[in-house]
Amino acid sequence: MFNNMIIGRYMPGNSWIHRLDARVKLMLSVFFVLAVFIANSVVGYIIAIVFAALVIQLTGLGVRVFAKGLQPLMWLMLFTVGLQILFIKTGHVWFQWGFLSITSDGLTNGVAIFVRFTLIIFFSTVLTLTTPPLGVADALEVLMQPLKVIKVPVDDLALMVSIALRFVPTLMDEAETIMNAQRARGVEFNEGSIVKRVRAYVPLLIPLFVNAIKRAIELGDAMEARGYRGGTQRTKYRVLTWHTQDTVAMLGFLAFALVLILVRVMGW
Amino acid sequence: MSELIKLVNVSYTYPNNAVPALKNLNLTINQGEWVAMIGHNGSGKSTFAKLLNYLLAADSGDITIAGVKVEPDNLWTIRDLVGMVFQNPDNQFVGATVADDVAFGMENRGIDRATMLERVQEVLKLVKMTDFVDREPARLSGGQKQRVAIASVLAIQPQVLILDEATAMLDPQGRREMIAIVRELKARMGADLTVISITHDIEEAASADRVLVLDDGSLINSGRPAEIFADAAILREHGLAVPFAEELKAQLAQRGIAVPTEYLTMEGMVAWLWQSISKK
Amino acid sequence: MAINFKEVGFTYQLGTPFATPGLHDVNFTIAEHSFTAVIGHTGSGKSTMVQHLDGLLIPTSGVIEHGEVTIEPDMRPRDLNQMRAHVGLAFQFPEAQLFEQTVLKDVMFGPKNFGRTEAEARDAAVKALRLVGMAAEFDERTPFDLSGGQMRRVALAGVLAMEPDLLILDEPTAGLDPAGQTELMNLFATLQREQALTIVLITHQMEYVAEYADQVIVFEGGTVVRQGTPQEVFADADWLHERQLDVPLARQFADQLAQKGIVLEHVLDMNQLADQLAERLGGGRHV
Repeated sequence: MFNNMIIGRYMPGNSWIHRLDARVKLMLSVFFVLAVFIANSVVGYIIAIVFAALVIQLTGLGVRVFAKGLQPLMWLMLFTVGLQILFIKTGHVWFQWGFLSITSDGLTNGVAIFVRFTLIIFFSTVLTLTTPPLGVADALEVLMQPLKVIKVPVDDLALMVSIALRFVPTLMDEAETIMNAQRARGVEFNEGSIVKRVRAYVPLLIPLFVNAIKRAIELGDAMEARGYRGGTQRTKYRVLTWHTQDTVAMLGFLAFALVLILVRVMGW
Repeated sequence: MSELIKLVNVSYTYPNNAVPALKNLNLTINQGEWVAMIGHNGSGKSTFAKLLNYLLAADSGDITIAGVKVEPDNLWTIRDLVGMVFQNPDNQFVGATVADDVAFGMENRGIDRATMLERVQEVLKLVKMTDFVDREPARLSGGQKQRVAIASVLAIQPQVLILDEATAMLDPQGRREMIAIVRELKARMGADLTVISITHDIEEAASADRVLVLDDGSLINSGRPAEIFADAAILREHGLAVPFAEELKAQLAQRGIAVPTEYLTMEGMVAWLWQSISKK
Repeated sequence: MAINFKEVGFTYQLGTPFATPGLHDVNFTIAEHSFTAVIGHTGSGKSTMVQHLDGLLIPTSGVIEHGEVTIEPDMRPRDLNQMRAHVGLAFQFPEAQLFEQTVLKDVMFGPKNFGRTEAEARDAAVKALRLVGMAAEFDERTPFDLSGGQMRRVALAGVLAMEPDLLILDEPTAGLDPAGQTELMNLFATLQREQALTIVLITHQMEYVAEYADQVIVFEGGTVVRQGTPQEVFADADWLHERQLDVPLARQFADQLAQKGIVLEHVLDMNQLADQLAERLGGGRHV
C-alpha cells in the first residue's frame, strides 16, 4: 500500500551520515528547520542549499531518492506557494485580476517558501532515510530523559515504542496476506463508492486486530517468562556512543548556522 | 540422578471451561533428563508447560522445581530456574535485533552491561547465530528466530529449558536444525540442563530420554522412546504420529508377514529386512 | 482449467528504489484436473508464483494463459475479478482471514462476493462445512472461539464454498496435529478425484508429494529449476539435498536398502514399499 512512499522509510547503507549518532541527527534535523528560517536573502538561501546538497551527497543515496520523497507533498507545497503569489499585494504589480494579483514580493515570497519547504523536507528525510527507526526511538529516549523528573515513565515508553517498531514489518506482512486472502474471496479494495470502499476494509481490519491481540497476549507471556516486571531496575544493553565524527558533524553544523546568522546580520 | 521437578496431584481448569485441561497429574523429572511430551492438540501439553513457570497457577496440587515451590512468593526464582521457548517465532521476539532480544532477559534481571556483552556472544555461539547478531527479526527465518529464542533462555542460565511446540511452525530444515541444536546443548551441558520438549515431531521425541504421553489432561503412558513408539496402534488411537519403521512393520504385518515385536529405528528395520531377505 | 506460464517474470515495486526481483523466466504447464505439487525453499518464488495463479499479482513480463483468460503485464488485478471466481486460494495459516460473526456467515462471504444469491451461498457454505468435518452445531458460533484445528477447517471451507475449478493450497496442514493433517490431505485427494478439481499444493512434506501429486514443480531463486513426475524429480536425491529439499521417507528407506543390496523399483510411498517387501519376504511362506 505504502510501497512508493519515501518519507519515513529507512534505506540501509554505510555512509558517513548513516554512521552518525542518531541523537546528533535528530538534534541537527530540528536545528536545521530553525536555521532555515534565519536565511532571508538570496545569499542565505544559496548557503543553505549548498549545505543541504553536501549532506545529501554524504548520504550516498542520490538526489533522486530525495526528490521522490517530495512527491506526496508536492500539491501541498504548490498550494501554499500559489497562495503566497496570488495574495501578497506589496511590491511591483505584474498582473492584476480582481482581488488576485501577482506582484514582485509575492513571487519572491513564493519562491522563498518553496525553497524552505524543499530544504526542510530534504533534511528531515535525511534523518529517516539514514537512521533505522529504532535509532530514532533510542535518540528520542535519550533526549526525553529530563522528563523523568516530572514522572514520565520514559523507559517503559521507550520499550513500548521499540516493540511497536519491531512489529511493524510483521503486521505489514500480515495485513498484506489477509488482504490477498480476502481478494481471493472476491473483495475488491479501493473500488466503487466511498461506502463500498470503507466496507471492503472490514474483512481486513477485524482479523488484523484479532490477530494483533493474540500476538500481544503471547508476547506478554513470553516477556513474563523471560522475567520482565516493568519498573526501573532494568539495565540497558543498547547504548549510544559518541564518536569523533559526531563532534565533527556538530561543529560543521554550528559553522553553517553561524554563517547564516552572519549573512543575516550583515544584510548580505 | 536427583529429582528436579516434582508434580503432585496437579489439576487445572481454564476459566469458563467445564472440562479440566489437566487432571491429577503426578510426575517427577530428574536433573539433566530430556523429556518429550506428546499428545494431540488440546491434550493439555501447553497447559503443563505454563504451570511450570507460573504463567498459569494450578487449581490444586503442588509443583516443586529444584526444591522451590511454584507459588507467587517464589515467582522470580522460578522464572530464573525455568526458561521457555514458545511455538510462534514472531510472538516471542522482543528485541529489535538478535543481540537486543538475547539481552532482554538479562536486562530484566539488572545484569551489568559488560556481562551482557560477553554472554550474548557466548550463547549465540551455542545456537550458531553469531553471524546474525545485528539482524532484525524481519530478516530471519522462523528457524533462526527460534534459535535466538533458545539463546535468550540460555543467557539467563536456567536449569530447565521448556520447548513448547517450538518446532511446530518451522519447515523441515528449520526443525532439523533446532533438534540438532538441542542435542548438542544436551551433550555439552549434561546434568546442568534439563529439557522438556512438547512436540508432535517424532524425530524430536525420539531424541529424548523419556517420552510422556498425555491425553485429555491425563498422563497415559511414560517410557523410553523405544517402548512408547513400539505400539503403532496405541499411538494412532491417541491421534499421534507413528515412526516410519513402525508404520512399515504394521503394513507388512497387514500383508501377512511375521515382524519383530520390539521397536526398530529405520536403521534397525533395514538390518532386519536385509537379514530376513538374504536368508531366502 | 489448464494453466500455462510463458516466460513469466515479476519484479516487486518495479520502478522504485526498492525494486526487488520476484520471478524470472518461469515456464510451466498445469493440466486440467491434475494434482501439482510445488516445492522449494522459503523465498524461492513459490508464493509469488501462487499469487499470479489467482491474478493477485500481474506479471511484469511474459504471459500467463489461464483457461480462456490471458494475463499480460499491462492488465490490472481488477480485470481478473471474473477469473478469480473460479480459483480458490488458501494461504498458509488461512484462519487469519476469518472475520464474520458466525462460522456460516464467514464461509458464505466468498460465494456472495462472487455474485451468488444468499440462498445459493448458504447451500454452498453448508456443503463445504460438512465436507471439512464441521458439524451443524458450529454454524452459528463465532469463529474466534473455535480451536486452532477447527478454525483451519472453517477457513478452508470458506475457500471450498466458492466451488472453484482450481484449488491452490499453501501448506494447508502446517501446525496441525498428525491426525488432523492426514484427515485434511485425504479430503483434498477425494475432492480432486470426485469433483475433477485442479489442485496446486505448496508443501515441504515430500510424503504428500509422493502420495498425491501427478506433477512436481521445483522452484529456486525465483524460477523453475525442475519439473516432472514425482518419480522423475525424486530420482535425483543428491540434487534435491543440495537444495536442502528432502526425498520422501519411503524413498530414503529404499535407498538405504539398496545400499545393502536389496534393490526395489519405483518406491515413493509406504504402499509401494510394503508391497514389494512383502513379496520378497513372503516368498513361498504364504499362499
